[in-house]
Amino acid sequence: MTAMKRRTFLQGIAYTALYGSLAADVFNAAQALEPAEIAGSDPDLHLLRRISFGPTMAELARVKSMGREAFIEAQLAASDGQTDTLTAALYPLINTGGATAYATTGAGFAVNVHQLHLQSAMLHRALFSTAQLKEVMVDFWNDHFNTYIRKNPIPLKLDLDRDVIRPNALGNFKTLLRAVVHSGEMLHYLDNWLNRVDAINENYSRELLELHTLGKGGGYTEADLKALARILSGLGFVVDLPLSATSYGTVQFTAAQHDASEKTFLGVLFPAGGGEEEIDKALQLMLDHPSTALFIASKLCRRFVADEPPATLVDRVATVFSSSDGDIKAMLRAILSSSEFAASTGSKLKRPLEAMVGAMRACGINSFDALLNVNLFGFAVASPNGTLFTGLLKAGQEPFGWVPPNGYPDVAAYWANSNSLLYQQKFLVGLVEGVGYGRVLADPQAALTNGTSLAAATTRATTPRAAVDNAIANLLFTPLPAAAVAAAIGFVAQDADPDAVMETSLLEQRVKGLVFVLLSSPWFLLR
Amino acid sequence: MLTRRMLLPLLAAGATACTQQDAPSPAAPALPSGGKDAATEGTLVVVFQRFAADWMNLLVPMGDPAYATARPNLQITNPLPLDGFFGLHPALVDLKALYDAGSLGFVTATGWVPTDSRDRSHFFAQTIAESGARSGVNSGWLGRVMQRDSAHNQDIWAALAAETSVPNSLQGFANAIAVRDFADYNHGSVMADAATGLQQALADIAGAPGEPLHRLARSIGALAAEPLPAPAVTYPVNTLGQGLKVAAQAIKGGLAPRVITVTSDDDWDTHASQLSRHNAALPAFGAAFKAFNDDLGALMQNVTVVTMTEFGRKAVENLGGTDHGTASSMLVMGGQINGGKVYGQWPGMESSQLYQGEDLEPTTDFRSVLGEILVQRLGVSEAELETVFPGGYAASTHWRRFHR
Repeated sequence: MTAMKRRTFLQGIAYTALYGSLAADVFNAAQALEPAEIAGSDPDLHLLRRISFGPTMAELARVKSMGREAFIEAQLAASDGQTDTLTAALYPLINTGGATAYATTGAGFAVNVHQLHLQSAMLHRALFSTAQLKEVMVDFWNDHFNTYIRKNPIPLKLDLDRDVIRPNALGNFKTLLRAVVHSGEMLHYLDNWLNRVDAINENYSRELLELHTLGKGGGYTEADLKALARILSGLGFVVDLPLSATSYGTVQFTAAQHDASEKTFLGVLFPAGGGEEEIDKALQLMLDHPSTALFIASKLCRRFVADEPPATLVDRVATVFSSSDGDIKAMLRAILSSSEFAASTGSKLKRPLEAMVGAMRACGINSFDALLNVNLFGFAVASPNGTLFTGLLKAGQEPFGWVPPNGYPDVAAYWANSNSLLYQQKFLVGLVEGVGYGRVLADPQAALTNGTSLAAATTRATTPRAAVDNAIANLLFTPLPAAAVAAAIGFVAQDADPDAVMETSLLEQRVKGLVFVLLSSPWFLLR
Repeated sequence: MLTRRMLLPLLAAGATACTQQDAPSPAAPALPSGGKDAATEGTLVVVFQRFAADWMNLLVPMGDPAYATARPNLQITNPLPLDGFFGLHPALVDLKALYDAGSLGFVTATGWVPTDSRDRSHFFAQTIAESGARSGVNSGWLGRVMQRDSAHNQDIWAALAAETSVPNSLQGFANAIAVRDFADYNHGSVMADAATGLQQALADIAGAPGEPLHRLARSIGALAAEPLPAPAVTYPVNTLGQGLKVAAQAIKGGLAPRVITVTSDDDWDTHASQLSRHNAALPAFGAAFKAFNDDLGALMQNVTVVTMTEFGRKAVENLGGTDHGTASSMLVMGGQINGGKVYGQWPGMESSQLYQGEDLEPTTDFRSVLGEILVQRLGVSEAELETVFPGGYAASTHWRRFHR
């Protein structure tokens, strides 16, 4: 273990000795709380935790002034042109065709710049976009229709995200599904471009049924799966290597590679001699199947309500899927306005993405640095060595980095483990070093009154007690139990009077430890 | 010079105030628990090859004339001969050396013997393989192994997931710790360490949702007690190599883990381009086992490694790759393994011998392989085995008896 400076050591003794006695006090005073009690009873905060990458004080104020129903409608209709423009200016390859990006960036080395642009753009939008629900849904569908960013060195993923997922994220599921089936990226990822009459490949057929539409146990057989593989045979894309930047990835159906024999799929006869129209016919059967409505409803409810969502709600949302012909907004309205949603506070855990991005949003984004693309709290986003990148990677949630086709898990049982939490914590260690303390220490009421801009120095806390109160209000938006507040004040004040003015640099230094703790506490990590 | 270690008594004082949980003593040997004989209590390392490895391309049935017919494009024409019938993929030279040295063997044609448990969905098949039964259980098989002895509840490192997350196989044992890289457990700042302590106090208040944070704080404290030894060898850069490196560090560092899980994410889902993908992935796959074996040296006497995968791939190729199938094979390695042999019964690849006319038929239930190790090396009794793997599939009557 590395040696350290004597001053650091003495500081450490002070913290740890203090912590030792406080921990005992806190333990003695502790009473186990239910997750719902930790999450608190503010329905506006609950809504923001679920439909954004993390509440901010400004957004919370907006919900409270508009009302939840109006806010949901605004979010369902929202777009953020300013952020879109800025994102595209910072990461221009996201608006380049995948094949062109490959051909023009000298890509193919260990770190592909186009991949970095797509990943950075995703994080940038999650951090900054005011159309948060849209970005959450883009993330949701990118998981549902997961493809691994590094499987194809030619980044058709750029095209899938830009042309298929983003325009349809709040649109119609049936349109979305058909667009995915006709995307070069998916046809490559699940090997359908190699699925030909003389070499039937079942990979896409299986996952299209199991993961994208009917779901496991949704009423299809192994024979249906084999029939679907043959129906899909011949659907591929132009592969003209060495690369023609204009046509590689263009989806095409090649009749000569299609298995034209007779098939029976989901009980329906596909007579011999069929061609491309078989694919549309099969997709229609899948999309109209009641299992698809139920499966999509259950996944949406898992995302927004609970890891094991109430069956009553899933059934109602499935009915909305059917009656609205797959309208995603209609399903979201049904979920977010339901009593089951209202009763679900504290039943979701943030994944590393929401925890890390949410921490940065809560601390207040340094938008000037972001504008210059210099850093966000001192961390370059567009760098594979950046803290946010490495943190997400090691915690297990690199953007678009999930290899298998089921997408990142959305349940606490997967993420509440020591490894994921460790890297969230390590990210926070770096974050607190770069936090602008004006924001954390500001009087929350003054900050609200003045929008997100920092109020005059007079609104900043100068005593340990006020610093703790402000930090809790600005980062968690919900009160802590008295015992926890006492522990926090003790941590910041140490042997000083908690109500006496503390020298600014010392106060900020100690608040760093407090920020670390608050942002890695269950009060913050519940979604 | 002052060191972090000198700080520890202070940290430990705080920690014990909360939990009565001491950091493990640095040089402690692997302690027997639950009053069992130490000689029968080894460490089990379970490597899960995620997304269905085509073992027919690793452990090649070169003696089966139907093999070349089923795989005109994929067949391995120059395997490393093992026993006259089987050969190893030529990229697995490291496994061949371990096999020849007698420390590694294989069980062929493994899978679910009961046909109603066979399933070709990656996700469902992984879930039930890690549960150890298709139905009737609500935890993972390793979770039940750990549950049977309450002494493990007091031990931070008894169940170690040397990977990014805790796998389903350890469900039911709340104390499992996931470690991707021990080196990162050092926060590198006194402030952060102290804050971790405060966080532990807050986690106490939070009750159940705070439990993972609580465990994390405890494990950070425990690791600060003594840095783990650096590997004595170089591991290949793949998920398996990283996982086995962490596993070896825990064993060598005296953390006394009983079960360790490792993921092998080495590009197994080869629906297409199987030959080139295996050529790229297999050298590092084999090298990881060799590195682990060399790193542990004499400590391998008490360690057993076993691999599993959710199902095998189709006997018949799809031209350039293989789709989802049924039977697979398992690798067993360790000081108590009677290696240098391929165990089990080859079912044959004639279409009349294949399951549903297309897949290799399982002749050994994978649970009997795991059960044999649990009884021989982890002190699990045959009666307890029935709670780990209900239905009798792991009972000694089914064992292939690959232990010395």
